[in-house]
Order: sequence, then structure tokens, then C-alpha cells
Amino acid sequence: MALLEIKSLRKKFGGLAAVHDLDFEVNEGEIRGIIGPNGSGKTTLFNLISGFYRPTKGKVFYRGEDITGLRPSAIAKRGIARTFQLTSLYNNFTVQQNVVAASYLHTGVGFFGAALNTPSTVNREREVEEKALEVLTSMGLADYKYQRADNLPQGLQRVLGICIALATQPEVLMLDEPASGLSPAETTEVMHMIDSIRHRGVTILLVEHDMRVIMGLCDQITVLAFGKKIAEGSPKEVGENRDVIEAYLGTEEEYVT
Amino acid sequence: MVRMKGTKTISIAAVVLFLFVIPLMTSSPYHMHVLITILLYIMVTASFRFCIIDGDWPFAHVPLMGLGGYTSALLVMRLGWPFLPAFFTGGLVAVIAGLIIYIPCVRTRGITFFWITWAFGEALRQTWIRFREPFGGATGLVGIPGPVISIPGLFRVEFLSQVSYYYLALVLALLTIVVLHRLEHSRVGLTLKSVGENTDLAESTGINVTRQRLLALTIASFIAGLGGSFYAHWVHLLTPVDFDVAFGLFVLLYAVVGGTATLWGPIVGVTAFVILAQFLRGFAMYVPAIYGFILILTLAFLPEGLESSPRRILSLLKKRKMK
Amino acid sequence: MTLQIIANGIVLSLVYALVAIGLTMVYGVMRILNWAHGEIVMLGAFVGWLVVVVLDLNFVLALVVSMLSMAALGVGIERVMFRPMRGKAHLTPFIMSMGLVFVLQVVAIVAFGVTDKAIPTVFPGMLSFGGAVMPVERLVLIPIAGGLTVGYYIFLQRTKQGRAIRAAAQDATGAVLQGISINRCALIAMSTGCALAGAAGVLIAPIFTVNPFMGTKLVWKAFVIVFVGGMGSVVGTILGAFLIGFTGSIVGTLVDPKWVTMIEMLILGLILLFRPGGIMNMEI
Repeated sequence: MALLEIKSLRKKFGGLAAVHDLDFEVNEGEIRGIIGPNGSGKTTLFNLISGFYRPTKGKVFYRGEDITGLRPSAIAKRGIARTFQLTSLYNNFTVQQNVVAASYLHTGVGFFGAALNTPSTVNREREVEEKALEVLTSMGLADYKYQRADNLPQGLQRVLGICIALATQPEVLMLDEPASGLSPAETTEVMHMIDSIRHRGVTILLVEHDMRVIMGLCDQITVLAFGKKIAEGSPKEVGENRDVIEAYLGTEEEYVT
Repeated sequence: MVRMKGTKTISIAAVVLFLFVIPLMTSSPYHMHVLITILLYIMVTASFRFCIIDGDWPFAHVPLMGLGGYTSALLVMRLGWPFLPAFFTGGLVAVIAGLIIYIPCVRTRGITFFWITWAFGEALRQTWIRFREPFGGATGLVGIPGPVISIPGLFRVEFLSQVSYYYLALVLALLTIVVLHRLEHSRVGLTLKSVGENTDLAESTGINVTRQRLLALTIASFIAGLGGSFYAHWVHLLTPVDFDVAFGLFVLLYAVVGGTATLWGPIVGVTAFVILAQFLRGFAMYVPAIYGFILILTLAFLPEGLESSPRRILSLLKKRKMK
Repeated sequence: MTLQIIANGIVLSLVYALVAIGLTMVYGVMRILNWAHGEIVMLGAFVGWLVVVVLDLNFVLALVVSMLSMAALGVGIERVMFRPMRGKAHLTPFIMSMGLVFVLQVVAIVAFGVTDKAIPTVFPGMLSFGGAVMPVERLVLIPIAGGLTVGYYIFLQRTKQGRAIRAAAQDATGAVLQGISINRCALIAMSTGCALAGAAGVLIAPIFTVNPFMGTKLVWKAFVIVFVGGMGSVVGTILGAFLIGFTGSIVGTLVDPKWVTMIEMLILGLILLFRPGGIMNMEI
């Protein structure tokens, strides 16, 4: 059984269908690329899976469970995390606080423990901080932990966004254009990062425009255009697919490289 | 680091000790009255401010305070309940009514949430005016007895002087501050701050934003209800006007002008305004306008409130030094 | 009896519409819910009283003077308070408008005193038709208020400025990209909205009592209407005004005026639960 199944998913805004009868499956452990021209429904898809949009029709299944229409926090609790296209951070928090804030979902909030500051609460807090530090270290941000998030350069802010998602200990991580606006060197770093995340056992959905990233990382690629799936397959298969090339008119050169 | 923490603890302990000792230095009813007002308003404003942390400005807060007062007063006067159970039930009823109001309202945020909670809070207040039975209508409830705390056969504490009310208010206010402080500096507080700072991000990391907001609102309603109960048994008289929009705006004023970043804000704001009010006693007519101006000026020139002034002065001095 | 209810309903609805349209317009364009809007109605009423009672001039003049003076006041408020705060925290101008409530109320108290003022009947007489009886001056309200409302609607739909502010209300960034100045739009929204509020004040004055505190009750009704209709939608506001106006008329006549608030809360609650964007389903 596939880890994540999308069945006949449709999302309409007013009269316009942003996503049209979409079917696909993602298997555990893979890196799935999702590509398509602007407006093809990629971010809408993420919003539908993560619960920020309710589908007009269709269903989303995770580990066999119907998660359609659940609120985003419920979906995050089940193990699906995401980043946002415009990097979303807690701007006024420190880097460390950003990650710690996202770390509580699997450990109880413990209201009375918090109010009374019991020893077990103090222990749990220390554990959470250690875990947060681990995440930061693995992504190279440990040195910045006391910096305000909005003081970081853009590339590092992007990484912090990924750290926040990782702090929720996800089984599936949805990355929305992690390489956009980055220099080639930064892009390579991000690719290494994503690869290391995959090696920790996280299944990854990757929306990207940068073909180097997509071709370099993905096991399978799903291609969307105008809200519909027009192709799916290995990077080689997709790269040679006529419909895909047509949809991307004028970007043939990228496929050649 | 450790030495600084020690200094802070000692100075706070000193202040608290001082507060307990004040009545030995002056027990004039007038001074006591002012101090009790400050303590009560700190309870109400600090709990209001607690919701601001996660982005909610609940304007049903003051009417819920009133509900606590009416509940406690009626339980004691009509049903003969002893003070303490009635007192806490006031808080509980405020929580329940608060949930009834806030659960539907929590679909909205920001300005809309503020207005809609105002509307429902005002509707609540209207029921005290419309229904003479049991709320007493516009004339309200008279002759509310003072608190009596007793265990039959063991002891009986009656509140006969303003000093006794002062100690009760002091205990309540200190408990409020301690509890709110602890919560704010725990994971509960960080979670609330996340919701206030970036709601969608918080939700995407598994934080149920609706539940967090309701949690903060519940805690705030309970404290407000207790404050209202105290108020009822302290002034022995309760009218709907006591909890009208004007008072609600004053609470907001204390919170905003004091500063909403930390728990010091409400403390500073309330103290400043209550003392200011004493000097303005001859100008009662102009007080709202003066308050209004202060609010506008604060937002324009000191948007983080009075509590930020030490920090700002320090950084101004540093800039001077560097030149 | 039915005719009476309908007649009362129409009058009430139109008056409410005038008050609420300004509020919704300012929210739509500037995302500011101007708490002091009720005080503008109140000041408009006082200006009307000044012109008619103190200066002994005619009613139409009162209407015009009030609208112009309140438009000017609106411009002043926008320039001095709202515009400088435009970049800052979302809630700041809104909280400022609360301070403004106090300031304006005290200004009115100092200028006009606390006691209720009455404007004597400008259009004396009663008209009875089909079992309904209506004071003429209330009937006169209908064409005036109706005319202003319809006129404003046409302004929004047909004129360049009107369309500009509607565009700004829908999408501020998009409007700027089209060359529409947000400052201009804010000025237009604020001045026209306050002008309508001033007119409402003058029209209400002969019917209800005029005192410095009349604003708060009105703004409460206005907010309910704006929320029910859909915040930022003029059509929604008009529909909401009729809903609330007729509720007031029906419940007030058939049941008991005391229950009007409760029914309004019920409507508010239902909208909140089932259609939080209001009748016109605007984005909250």
C-alpha cells in the first residue's frame, strides 16, 4: 500500500478548477518531484494534502487513513510536515525558539506541569531543547541559535524553515520550492540537505522549478499542467515525454543538460 | 548569570514583603481603596493581556468579569451559599459563559474577533439590564455581603476593614501574576506566542490554533470571573454600568499604554492610570478625553508601551555615549 | 398594522444603511474598523441641531452643512491619525479610533453639554394611509436616505473614483500596480463615508434624542449590520441594514422592544456559525 494516496482530488475556486481529478500515489522512502508551469496547481496540491484547503471533491489517504478535510494540525500530528513557498518563520523568535516551538506536538503540553514547573516538566523541557539543537546542528544552523530569525540571510532563513518542519519529526516532508532564489552553490547545499533527510527515512515531496534539483534528487516525478496530471515516471521518462516538453515550451535546453 | 538571577529574586521578594507591610504604615481607607483598585485592575488587565499573546483581543472580558460578580453575589444572597464556593463558582460560570461566547467567535480573528466578542459581551450585559429578576435591572444588586470565610467550630474570618480586603486582593493579584508568569514562560506560553506570531506556521507544526486560543480565553475568563466576584463582595453593590464599554476600553487602555510584550505592561499601565485618575478627580468630565489622547499619543510615539521606556532610554543613552 | 411595520421598517433600514455604509467602506478600503464612526454620526446630529435650532435655518442646509463638515472631519482624521499609522501594526489605527471615541465625546460634551437636545419637527403633520400612521418627517426620510444610498451606490459603480476605491478594497496591491493611489482612495472612502454618517445624524436627530453618547449604540447596530452583510461590501451592508431594520420593526411592534437585541444576537450568531463572511460571503 502506498504511503500517501490522492484519489480524484479536485479543488475549485469560484468557477476555476485549480486541481482537476488528480490521482497519484507516493511510496514510502521515495523522493517525489512535482513539477509544472506556474499555476499548474502545485502549491494548491500541498495545501490540499496538508489541510489548509478543503477539496471540492476527492480524497487524501495517509497510511490507509482518510485524512481528507482534517485540519492542518491534525495532519501534522499524523506525520506530514511542509514548508511554505514564501519562507514562513517566527520572525521575532530566536532560531532556537523557532525550532523548539515546533517540537511539542509529540510530547504533551502538560498544562498543570507547566504552571507548577514540576521536575518532570523541567526534564522534558531540557529534552526538547536538546532535540531542537540536534535538528539545528544537522542542518548547520547550530551557531545561529541565539540569533533572531529575521536577522538571518535569506538562504539560512530557508534552511530554518526546513528545520521547523523537521522538528515535528515527520514521516513525510513536503518542500515547496526550497531552492528558489538561491545561488548555484546554495542550491547544491540544499540538495545535500534533502538527500540527508531522505537517508533518515523521511519520504519527500518536492515542488521545484530548478530542473537540476529535480533531476538530481527525485526517484519519480509527477508533472502537472492546468491542474491535471500530464505525466508521471522516472526522470528519464519524464524528460523525454512530449506532453511535458510542450507544457514547458521553450525550456527544452534544461532537459538536455 | 546566576548572580543576576539572585538579585532579581531578592528584589522581587523585597517588593512583595513591602506590599504585605504597607497597611502597617498607612491604613487610611482611601489609600487602601486605591491600592485595592490597582490590584483588582491588574488581575483583569493581566488576564486580558494573556489572550493578546496569541493575537486575540477579547472584548467580552469585562462583561464576563461582571458575570462572575453577579453569580457570586446571587449565590450568596439568594441561595445562602458560603463565600468561598460562591467566589469560585463565579469564576467557573465566567468560564462556561466565556466558552459559549468564544467557541463560535473563534472562527474570526483580529479586529473582527474583537468586535464580535464585544457584541456578545454587550448582549450579556443587556440581560442584566433587561431582567430585573434576578439581576436587578439597571439598579442592580444592593447589599451584597462582604466575604465570610469560616470553618464551623474552627474559625471565622469576616472582612470588616479595607485593610482586610487589601490582603485578599493582594493574595489574588499575586496568585494571578505568578500563575500567568509561569504559564507564559513555559511551553504553554511559547505555543501561544507562536500562534500570535505566525498562525499558519503554528498550525502546520501540529499546534491546534483553535484549541490554544480557547485555552488562553478560558484561563483569562476564570481570572476575570474571580475578579468580578471579589469586586461584588468588596463594594457591596453591582450595577450593569460597572461593566460597560467604557470600563472595557479602560482595561484595553491600561494594557496598550502599559505595553503588551510582558506581564509588566499591565502592572505599569494600571498603576500609572489609577494614580493619574486620583489627580484628575476635579476634572472627571475631561478624563475620557485625556485618556483618549494618551492612548493616541502612546500608539504614535511609544507603541510598545510604558514598559518599554527603560529599554528605550537605555538605548538612547548608549547612542549618546557612542557619539 | 402590517403597513405600519413595513413603513417603520423601511425608515429604520435606510437610516441604518446610511450609518453602516461609511463604516463598511472605510473597512473595505483601509482595513480599519473605525470605532469612532458613531461619534461622527453624533457630531453630524449636533451640527444639524446647530443649524436648525440655534441658527434657525432650514433643514436642507443643515443636511448639506453636516455632510460637508463631517467629510472634512473624516479627512482630518485620516490624515492625522490613520495615514501615519498605515505601515504599522494591523490593530494600531483601530485602537487609536477607540481613543478618538473618548476625545470626540468629550468635545461634544464641552461644546454642547450633556443634556439631550431635541430638534423640533421640521415637517409637521401625520400621514395616514391604509391603516398606517406615519409622521411626515419620517416619511421624508425615505426619499432622502434612499436617494443618498442609491446615489452612493451609483458613485461606486459608475464613476472613476468609485471604481478605484472598490478596486482598492478588493486588492490593495493590485490596485497600486494599476496606478491607483491608496492615499486618494483612503481619502475618498473616509470623506464620503463620514459625509453619509453626518447625513444620517441629521436625519436621525428629529426622531431620536441627540446627546453625546448616542454614538455607541448606533455603532453597535452598524457593526452588526456590517458583519451580517459582509465586511467591505456595500450591497451586503444595504441588505444587512434591511434585515436588521425590519427585525427591529417587526420584533419591536409585535413582541417587545426589549427582545430586539436578543434577536439581533441570534442573527449574528447564526451568521457566525454558518456564513462567517456575511450575506455576501466576503473574506474575513
